[in-house]
Amino acid sequence: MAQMTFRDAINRTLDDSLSSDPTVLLFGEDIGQLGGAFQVTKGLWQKYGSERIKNTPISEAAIVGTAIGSACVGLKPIAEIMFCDFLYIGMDQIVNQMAKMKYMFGGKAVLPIVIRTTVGGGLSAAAQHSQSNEAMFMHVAGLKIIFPSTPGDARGLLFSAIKDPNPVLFLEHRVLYDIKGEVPEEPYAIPLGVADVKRQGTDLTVVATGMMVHKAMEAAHKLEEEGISIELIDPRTLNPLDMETIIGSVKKTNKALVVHEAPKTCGVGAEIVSLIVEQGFDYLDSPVLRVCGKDTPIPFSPVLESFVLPQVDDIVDAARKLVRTTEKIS
Amino acid sequence: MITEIRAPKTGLTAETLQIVKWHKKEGEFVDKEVLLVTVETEKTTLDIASPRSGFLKKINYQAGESAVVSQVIGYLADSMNESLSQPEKEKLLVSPVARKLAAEHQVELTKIEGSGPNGRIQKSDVERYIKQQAPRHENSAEEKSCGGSTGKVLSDSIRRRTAEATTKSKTTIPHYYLFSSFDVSHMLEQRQAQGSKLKPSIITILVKACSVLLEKHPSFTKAWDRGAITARSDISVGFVVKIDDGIIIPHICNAHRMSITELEETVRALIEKAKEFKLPAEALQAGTMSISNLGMYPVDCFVPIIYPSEVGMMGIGQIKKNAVWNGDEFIPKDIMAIALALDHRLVDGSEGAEFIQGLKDIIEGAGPSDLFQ
Repeated sequence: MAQMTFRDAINRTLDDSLSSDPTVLLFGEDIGQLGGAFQVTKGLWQKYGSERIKNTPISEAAIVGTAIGSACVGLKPIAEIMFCDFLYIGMDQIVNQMAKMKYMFGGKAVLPIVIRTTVGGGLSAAAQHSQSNEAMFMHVAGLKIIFPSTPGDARGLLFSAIKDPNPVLFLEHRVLYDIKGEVPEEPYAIPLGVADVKRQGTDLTVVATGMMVHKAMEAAHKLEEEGISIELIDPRTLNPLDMETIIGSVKKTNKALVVHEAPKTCGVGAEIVSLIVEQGFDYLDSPVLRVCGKDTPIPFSPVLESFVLPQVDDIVDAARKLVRTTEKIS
Repeated sequence: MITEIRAPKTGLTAETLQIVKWHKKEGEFVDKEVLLVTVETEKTTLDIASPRSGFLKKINYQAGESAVVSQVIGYLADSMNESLSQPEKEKLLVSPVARKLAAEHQVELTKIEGSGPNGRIQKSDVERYIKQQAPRHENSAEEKSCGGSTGKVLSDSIRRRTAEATTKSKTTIPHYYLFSSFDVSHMLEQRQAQGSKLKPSIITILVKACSVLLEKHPSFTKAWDRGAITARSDISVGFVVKIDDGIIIPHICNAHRMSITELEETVRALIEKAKEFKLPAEALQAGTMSISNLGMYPVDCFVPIIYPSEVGMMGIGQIKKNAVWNGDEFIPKDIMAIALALDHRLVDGSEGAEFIQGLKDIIEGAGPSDLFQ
């Protein structure tokens, strides 16, 4: 095990894949000499050259389209879309082509594509560079979606994403790039569709994704001082979604709170809450609540941005409402 | 207002009952406390009066149909136009897991106070209620022995049924008592001689002895039924079994036709079932007479209480070695004291005494019948 940043964990995994599999190649804006806008591909161009590490024009449709074409002829492309906000430009390629081609061609077109992209706010990058739009893609059949919260999970899940013969969307939270964590030096796989219980608890199940896993953990520490015991679950992959772990936890705590940064309306939380109610109704002792981003564009102003995005205290408040029964649930 | 009419809980084990007759038709008006429906369990027929005046809005179970206890068998309404969906009281807010837990512990949700938002009953409320209920149940016996009242109400349990039955007996049946003691040396020898066979218990031997004897005493096979004497067609002898928080009296029909081994097996099975509350309904029906044995304790003899609608109850004390004068010398004999309580409405003292004589002959081996067949 080594201490590694989230960024380095991904870089190391890309490096492992490039060296072990000659069909792996990288596409993206400024991912070559510059090492990418977030420095995730730093050093790979120098090591593997422009044949395998390809800078592309500023055209997300072209990046995804090229990935689809190269995958169809037997390569394993890993495309980087600098901001998830720009995925919309490649939307037709992603939703109509990449997600459906295998189905349309009766399984004959295999698309082992990984699209890496950055999500989330918190950097005062304003409304078009701060979104969390994972729910848009979770709605599309045919896409796997991975959303790691720790360097160790990022390494293991990216390894599995590259090995997977299906299109995978790999979401990297921009604020998490610098966090450090324990990461195995050797390549290793975390299977897709297996949630991780980040913290054991008895009073309330909190399901959080991405950056919110860290905020929920901080909230759990605060709540522990008040005698409220939080079980924190990070699904890690949104599709497939590990409901077994979530329901198992709800059976124990009888209460659930879903936390994500994306806007509340039609967010991933809506799906998770529905599934909890569908599959765990008899185990619930209170309504399942959500703490999510507000239904508004992300503001540039740091003060307003922090107001719009869920904060530790929002999670603490919601947890108190659920566990301390005397407080009214709004 | 809509009022639900529920199938009443009538007995210890009755879980279902049958609708015998609705005395009103759907749509008919019924006054308060006027006979509304007659139901029947294995044990009894029960007339149910209307709890209020109103229209018999709907009948859920027609005559001849069976309903589970506490199921809604019909509805009363202020008018026939009133909708059934109209709730009688405010909807109870209960969390799903609390509802499930309450069902598992057979707790009535209406008795629980909810601590959640808008008074919602939550898991912790149900758990608290169950916890509060548990010790109260255990304490009831101790509280009784102290004499003082705690103001707590007896739970609807075996204890309550025992209380009701004994009170009814002592307040309505004119008991009289006959005392005797039998030399059981011969009986004990024969019991020992059973060898490898299932050794019959004292209670088994006495059930058989009484059963054999009852066949010859038709004056005993009678019952007092609301002022009338009715003849019984069978011979059914019960025996008292101590269970948690009370007693239960399983009965055996026509024990005199069973072999002693068969009877012993039956007795053992009934004791087992009584302790698990799984007695079949027919075993719980009042019989001809019953026997209560306290001979396993240092009790010489005791005055028993008749089980209502039976002719008598025999109490058995411990078997003791007594010196008995045989005309020449004192010899040690196994002596068992018995007390027979009888209902004077059904049998008189001389008939009771003849029964005792017959029993003595059978037990002491002087009579013609062989108990150990």
